[in-house]
Amino acid sequence: MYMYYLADQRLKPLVKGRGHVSAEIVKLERPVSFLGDLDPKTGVLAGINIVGKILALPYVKGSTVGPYVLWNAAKRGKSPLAIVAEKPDLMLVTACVLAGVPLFEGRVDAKCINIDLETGAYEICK
Amino acid sequence: MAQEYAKEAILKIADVISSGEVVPVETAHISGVSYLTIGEHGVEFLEFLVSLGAKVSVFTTSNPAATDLGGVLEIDKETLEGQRRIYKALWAMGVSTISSCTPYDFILTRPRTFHAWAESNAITYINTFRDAWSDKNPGPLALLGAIAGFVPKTPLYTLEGRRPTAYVKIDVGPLDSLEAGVVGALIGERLGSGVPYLSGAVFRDEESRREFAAALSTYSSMVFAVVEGVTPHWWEYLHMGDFRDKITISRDDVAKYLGDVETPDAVYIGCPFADPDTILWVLEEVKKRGPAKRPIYISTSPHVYKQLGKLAETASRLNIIIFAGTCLVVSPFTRRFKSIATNSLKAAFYIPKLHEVRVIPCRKEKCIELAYA
Repeated sequence: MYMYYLADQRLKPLVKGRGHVSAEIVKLERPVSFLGDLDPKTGVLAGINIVGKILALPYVKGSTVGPYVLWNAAKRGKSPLAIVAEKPDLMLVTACVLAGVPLFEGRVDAKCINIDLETGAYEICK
Repeated sequence: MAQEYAKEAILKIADVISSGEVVPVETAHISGVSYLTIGEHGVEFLEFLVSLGAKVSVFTTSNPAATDLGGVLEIDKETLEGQRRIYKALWAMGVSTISSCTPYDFILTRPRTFHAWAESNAITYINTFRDAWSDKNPGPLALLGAIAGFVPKTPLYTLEGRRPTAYVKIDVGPLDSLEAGVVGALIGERLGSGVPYLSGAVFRDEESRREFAAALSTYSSMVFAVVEGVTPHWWEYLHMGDFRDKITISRDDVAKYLGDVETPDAVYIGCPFADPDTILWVLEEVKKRGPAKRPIYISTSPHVYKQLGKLAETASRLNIIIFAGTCLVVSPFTRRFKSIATNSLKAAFYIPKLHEVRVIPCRKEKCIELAYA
């Protein structure tokens, strides 16, 4: 039933989740390193709170420790609801699988979307 | 339960990057075991796996840690405690904690066998000098691979994915350890990615092979090169080569890469870990001259350290500090220096970034001279 009006736009799902969420998008123009940029205790990434939001970024950089930091944030309930990356790599995929954070490939320009975590179909919040 | 968790995680990752295909591995070597680099987050992840009852299912070794095994380097209490927890978790999972970045010293990986290694210099070494196959797996992925017994079948685990893409003529040599590192760094910087095929490369000794492998993978995303006459099956790789790039590395290129040398606070040899020949060579050179004016640090694996026996004490009287199980890249001990001279291009890349300490690259002979400057 949701598919009916979620089908107008779609992101490629890499790490699938279940159900759908409607959330604000935190968009970063520059790549980040989870190690150093993300505080797993507060969920603040490069100065911005990402808890309960959808994180959109070009790609991640930096240490192979990165997946450990996202895992730690998720354990504390301080991870984003989903991540949308323009250029996902083995490091980001590993991080999202371990942390249980749905990951999509692509680019979104909206401020808020309603997304199906399994298919990546989304619509802009009304 | 842990087995299921690891298998599910790897299959999920494989779904994304290798159409769900996985490959069984014979051995694993895990990185991200230094408290300095993984910190509290990493420790908690390892302890979480232990709480699930995780055990490795293939022979698994581990990288250098933040502390040395003999207590030669002084470390703060917090790091010591964190490192103790990491070792405890690794032991609980059945990891052979060899604390070495050169596991190829005694894991004689056979050609065309599969491995889940996560230390880039070691991956490049076994790919290049043994034609044993491993991709560069992120630290936690190699550990999950060790538990599950398989990893995603990425291109480097297939012959097609190992097809050489660049023909590299080496017009300099025979290569000593510093030159081999510079050649690796230059190829890395010029190509960035792909599979280089090297023609005309002569490596002077074991140390130069190690430095080449370490530098290539430090200065690029590449972890495999074919060396004519050296890599097992090099002729097969030559025939299947699809040489889109052709480059030459000349004596001038190598000379230009190296700046002027200056007097350092300390000299450092052993990144990747020093083999016995290298340590004995340094000892002989220093014995000829008497105790060094500036300390010469040599990092090596606990196995080699044990072989040295009383020689390590003899060395310390000559101001040569041999230590095992850690290195100046991953130990906070490095921060007490302003500048360090080394023949390792890998150390020259990481030490300034991780510790804000200046590094002066030098030939091994010159490095020893600088210890007396």
